[in-house]
Amino acid sequence: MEKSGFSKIDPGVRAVISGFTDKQKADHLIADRILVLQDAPLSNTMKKYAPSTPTPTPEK
Amino acid sequence: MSIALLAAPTIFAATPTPSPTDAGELQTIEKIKDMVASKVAQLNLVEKKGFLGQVTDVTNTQVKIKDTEGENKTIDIDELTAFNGDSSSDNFGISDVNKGDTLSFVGLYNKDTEHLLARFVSKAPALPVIFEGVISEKDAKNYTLTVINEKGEKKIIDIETSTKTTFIQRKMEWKNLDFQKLIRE
Repeated sequence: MEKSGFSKIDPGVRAVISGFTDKQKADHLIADRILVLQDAPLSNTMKKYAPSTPTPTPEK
Repeated sequence: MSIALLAAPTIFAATPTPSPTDAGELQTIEKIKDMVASKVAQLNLVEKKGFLGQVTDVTNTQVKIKDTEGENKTIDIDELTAFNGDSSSDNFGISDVNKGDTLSFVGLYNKDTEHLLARFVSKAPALPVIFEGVISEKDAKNYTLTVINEKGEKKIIDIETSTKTTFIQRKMEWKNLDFQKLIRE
């Protein structure tokens, strides 16, 4: 487990977000915690929505 | 000889535990046994628990809620239940509870009746939401992410300065062992 920031989040990966629904915008979720599951495989449905080539996270 | 007898310590025989022979005594013992058994059963049946949810129905003695997992819960209110409203409402009570309110309850949960006897009731600002899906877009300008879940539902995630982000990588374990380096070589 590694703490990180917004810049290191790449599209195309699975994530679990906990937060609160925005009262003004129903489709917006104000994130409290984001858990990025870097190596977790995507389901077939999720693969449809994922960008074709996810940008790899630069290793330290 | 007489001096030796006088100096010998006095020994009392141990008093045997009296066995209850009286019918009345036996009845009292049985009563106590029953009381202890019922108290033990009650203690196992009741546990401290808390619920958070949206009010679906309310009466003077009972509140029904739907919790974060969509389950219906019944909460009993009595004269000992303490209510805590927000800063705007000082005298918050059962009469102020309306359908659709988000409330948190702490109290004694009865496993048999599946009712919670509320000891504390508080107004909760909002219910937390857990959303899992794939990150489809990233807007670095507005600090938002677009996430789509298994059902195809789309949510725009607003990142705040307080948002805590954590990465979970299986590779990390290998990294520590220098396994990646080993494969490359």
